[in-house]
Amino acid sequence: MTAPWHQGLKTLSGQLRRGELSVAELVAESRQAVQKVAHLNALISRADDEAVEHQVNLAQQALDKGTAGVLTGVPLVHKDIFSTRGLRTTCASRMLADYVPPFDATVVARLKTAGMVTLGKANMDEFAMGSSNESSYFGPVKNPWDNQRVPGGSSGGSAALVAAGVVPVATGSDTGGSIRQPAALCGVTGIKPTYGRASRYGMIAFASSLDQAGVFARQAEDCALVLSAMCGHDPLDSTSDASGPVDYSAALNDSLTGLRVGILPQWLANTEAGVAAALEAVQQQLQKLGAEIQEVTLPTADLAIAAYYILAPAEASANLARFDGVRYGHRCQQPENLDDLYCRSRSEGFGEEVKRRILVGTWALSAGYYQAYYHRAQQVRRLIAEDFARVFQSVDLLLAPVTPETAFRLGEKADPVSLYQADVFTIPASLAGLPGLSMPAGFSQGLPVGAQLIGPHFSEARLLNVAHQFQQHSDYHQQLPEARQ
Amino acid sequence: MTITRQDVEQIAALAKLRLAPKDIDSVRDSLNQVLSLVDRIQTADVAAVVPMRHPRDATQSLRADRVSESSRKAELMALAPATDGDYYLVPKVVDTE
Repeated sequence: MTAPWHQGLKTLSGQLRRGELSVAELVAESRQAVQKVAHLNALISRADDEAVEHQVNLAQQALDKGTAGVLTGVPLVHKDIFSTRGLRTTCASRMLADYVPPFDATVVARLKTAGMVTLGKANMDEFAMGSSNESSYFGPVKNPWDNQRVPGGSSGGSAALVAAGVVPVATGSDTGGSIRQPAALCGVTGIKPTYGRASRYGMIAFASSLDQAGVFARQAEDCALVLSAMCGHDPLDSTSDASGPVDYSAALNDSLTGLRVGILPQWLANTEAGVAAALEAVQQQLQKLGAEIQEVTLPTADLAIAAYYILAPAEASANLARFDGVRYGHRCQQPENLDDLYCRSRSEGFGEEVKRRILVGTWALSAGYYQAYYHRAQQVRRLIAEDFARVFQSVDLLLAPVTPETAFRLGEKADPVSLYQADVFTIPASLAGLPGLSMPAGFSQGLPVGAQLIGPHFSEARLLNVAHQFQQHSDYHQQLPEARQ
Repeated sequence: MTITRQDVEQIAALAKLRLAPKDIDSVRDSLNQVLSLVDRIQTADVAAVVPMRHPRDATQSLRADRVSESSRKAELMALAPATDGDYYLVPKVVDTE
């Protein structure tokens, strides 16, 4: 039997409004389901009973009074990068293993205001640095489709819980692909909006010019509902775009007739056969729905990984300088002097991948290398953004693979550079600040394949429209893994 | 571009990270792997390209200069691992002689 949210949040909301299901019953079912998949290691912290009960009561009161919205009473988990008042927020690091924030991230606060019920905090790569969820201080997350394989990262716990069918919604963050890649490897829908669309306030910073909050759900229609509630200008984030909230559900049923879709033959040539076949089928379905397909190229996108692995570590090395053992976070025992306090607290608190990126970033920003690496990477970033701008003069959006391959085995990509390549198709859009969506596009040898939609700045509604129309003619997004042990 | 053991020690000192002597060679090797990946940007023709510092070329937005938050000192100080009254505690930095 599938969960009451399996047919989508609109259906679920109707059941709640008509009293066919109480918020308490719904939330209890989701909490029990989350516990049944504990072997996935997808959750770092559970919200305590009292806090959940309080949120449940508020949501039920709103329903009873007729003031409820479509998200009222809907349970969710937040990636453990979002600050949650009174609920431990670790960023999957020993550095913050005991940190309980005194405030909510704006995304968390807005979804709370919309009546959503927080069940807990999802596992992730430490400080969102990774593409396999193996760098978490709390251990790796397992892919619900095959427990020997990774769920992708860094938002691996969020994707795994939605994929396992135990929560309807999870938040995530995407710096170089951390929503789209795990969505693809786990077979769920995930969207990263335009840079500046969702507030970064209270979302622990990794690379500030790239980080963006987003959402996972089974289907695009549900992503649209949640994204509408979480986005919009936030005075607390100076990089937040000034525009107000958008109803991302409004255009879901627009026709795709005449939609110009660009495809990238060079990218498709670098994917495994099962991924390329799934993408081809999506392309044909979009054509049936009236879209026109056009081949395009992004000549400088093959430099994206190189530019990203300078820019993101450089920004990370600056952002993570705040962890010094003094104000919050891990502090070493009996420091000999101030330098010892800083060095030992940081060395004990950060894991291997985080230290590696701090070192790379420190190096790229240091005298003698700044011009040749950091400055130059910013120039390459502009070339990539200009490539996209040029392409979007002739097409409305791009249909691309999310990843070169399906979910790989835990431990398979042991050296950092082979793991970095996992984000080859997601990083270019991140550098350009573009919105990207990953939707289930089929299966290859029993493992999910994702298709990526990339559009110009602020084209989220269009991406969701295309994904929704595709999902009206496919059922990949409704398939559930057996959550094998 | 490759870096040496000595470079690693210097970068670590700048980043306030302490590496165990036995780990320095493996850290150097993994950093060199990353550098060989990122060195590909040297092939790009970037003459006269303006660096992109913000993905939408936006500039810093400003707000009115007025008090908008109240003090949350007690809450924030409570997060610190070591405090004394209104002060964060760190090992002695300045000699009093």
